[in-house]
Amino acid sequence: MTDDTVIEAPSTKGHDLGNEIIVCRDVKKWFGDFQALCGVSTTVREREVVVIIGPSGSGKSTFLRTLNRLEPHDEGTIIIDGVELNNDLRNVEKIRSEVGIVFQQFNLFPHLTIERNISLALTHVRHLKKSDSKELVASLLERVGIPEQIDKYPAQLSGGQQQRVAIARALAMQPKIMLFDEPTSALDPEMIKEVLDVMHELAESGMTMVCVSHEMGFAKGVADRIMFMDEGLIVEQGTPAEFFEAPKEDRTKLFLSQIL
Amino acid sequence: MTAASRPAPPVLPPHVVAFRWARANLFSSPGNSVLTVVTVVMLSFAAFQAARFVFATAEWEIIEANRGLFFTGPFPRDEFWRIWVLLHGTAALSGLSWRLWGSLDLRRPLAFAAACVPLYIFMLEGDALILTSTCIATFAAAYFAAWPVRFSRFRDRARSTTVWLWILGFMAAMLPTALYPSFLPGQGGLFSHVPDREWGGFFLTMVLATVGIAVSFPLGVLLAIGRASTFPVIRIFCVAYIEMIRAVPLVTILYMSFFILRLAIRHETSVLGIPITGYEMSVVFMAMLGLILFSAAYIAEIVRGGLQAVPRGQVEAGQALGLGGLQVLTLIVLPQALRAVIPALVSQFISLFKDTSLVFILALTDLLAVARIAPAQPGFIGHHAEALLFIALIYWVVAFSMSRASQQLERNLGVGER
Repeated sequence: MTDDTVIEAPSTKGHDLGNEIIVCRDVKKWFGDFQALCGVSTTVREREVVVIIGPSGSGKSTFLRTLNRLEPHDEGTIIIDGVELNNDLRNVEKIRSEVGIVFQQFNLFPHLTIERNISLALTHVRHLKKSDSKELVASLLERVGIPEQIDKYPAQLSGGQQQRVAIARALAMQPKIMLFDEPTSALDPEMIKEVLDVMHELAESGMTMVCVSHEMGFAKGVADRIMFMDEGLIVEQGTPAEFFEAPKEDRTKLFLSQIL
Repeated sequence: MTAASRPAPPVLPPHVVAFRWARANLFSSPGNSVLTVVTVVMLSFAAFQAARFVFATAEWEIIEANRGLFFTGPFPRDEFWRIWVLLHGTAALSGLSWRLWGSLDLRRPLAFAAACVPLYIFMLEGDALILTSTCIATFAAAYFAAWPVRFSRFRDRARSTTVWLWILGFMAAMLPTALYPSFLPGQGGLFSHVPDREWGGFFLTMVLATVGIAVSFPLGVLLAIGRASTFPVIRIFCVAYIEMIRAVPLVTILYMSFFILRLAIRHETSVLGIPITGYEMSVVFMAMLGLILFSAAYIAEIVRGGLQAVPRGQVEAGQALGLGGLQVLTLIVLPQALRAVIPALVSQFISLFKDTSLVFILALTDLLAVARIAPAQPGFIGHHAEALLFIALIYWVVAFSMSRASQQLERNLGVGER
């Protein structure tokens, strides 16, 4: 990451940001009468780490989930890596295999071993041979620090270990973008760090990441950009330094005063 | 803290423990004491009467003399080899399967089956005893033949081959039977030569139950999936089917399958413009069809409960990995849904097994019908109790085996633990 000629937005991590990989224009979403997203427009660039914060009900999780169409948006456009997300199933499946997501509740498959949890999509979506996928699984578990758990079942692991398996499962598809939906909110305090460490390492390696998180330490240390959402809109965004030291909007100041 | 960290209680002599237990559980109050005494007296009386009947009053010759009738009803003796072929084939495939899917620990069910050995010996003689032994030998041979395959790279291929053998064997044995005497007279399956009215006894009961379970289970799963479908036409059809069938008694459905199918499919009919003459549906097949259609609706509702118990996040996790809808269903949702409803499913299977006795209304000679016929023979007039007790024992042995096997299956799949 030495070539510093194309930097427009400064990155706190010091890598260059690449092309725009996520483009959202005026994204709107309703649940019945309730409007969850009221016109969200933003772009995320390759290797950028964006942390979305905001009060509950602000639409941050919904917005994240529209990015791989777990929630279809009703209006506006979302373009991921040049492919528009719409009702065309081929586009949706293409994008889903390029966008990994980690859930708050891990959502590991309880009836499968850790090895099968990770290799399931490799054999059924990527059509890898069993021997190849087994090697890949071992190296991924090595990367998240739990190689010895390969033959266990999810319920035999701690929450932190399960979440790390979930990260490994998403990484197995070699995604271009990783989404994190409050990945540490369901964890006991002593397990949060082990998951954040893995996410930190992932950010260092240059992964494009969009995280909904309440971990302010992580946001300050790792994010290139903090995005503050409330009532279905992006209220304010900026680098961690700008955002935490000199917030512009009153709503942001109020929120920060409540959590810090 | 846990019990382990407490100091161990002092060890008491057994008679003191027994005395304390009795005082706490049987004689804790005057009312309870009376209840205990009355219950003990009544139970003893019942046990004494039962024992007296079984060991003194009853004349078990009716069972011994009618072994053949109980096992196969009026099935012609010359055609018995067909049943033995079926049993040997089943034994061979069971042996293969047990080795190939070896994680299923069947020790307990087998121990139970071994406990029934005196029953077999009482029931079998001559050829039957020898052929039963060769069946067991076939099972063992197949098991050991598959021994080296279990952990080799051929395992997956061997497994899929075995599944296909089951399906093909099942169809070869049973499907042409359905069309007897079919437009391929006498050429089709293993049992095409035997007129359906001559099927009977335990054999008929087991055929109806096995085919009923084997066909209604996948059908029920499909109906449950259809009911959860987002396509209105499929959903409405499945809901209508399930609600209609569940609203009608099984006896009615058996009658309907008999009379309405008879009306619908004439002796001379045509399929896709090809005329078919001499076609008549077998009564056994109609009974099967009735049982299958009935059971499938109940299984569908059981499976639906299982499908609803799978958290939404499981589907999302599958979708997010790029798995298609069918893959999410078969790899993630169904395995979890089915293991959650194993107890209810097995209840339904047991219930189907016992409901086969209703085919007597189609004048088929199943196990229950045999128990009604046998005491009408000269020499055995009036020995209804012996015959009924005997078939009750057979029903119980099979139903209890199914229940034990399902518990073992749950243990092996780790239900409730993961």
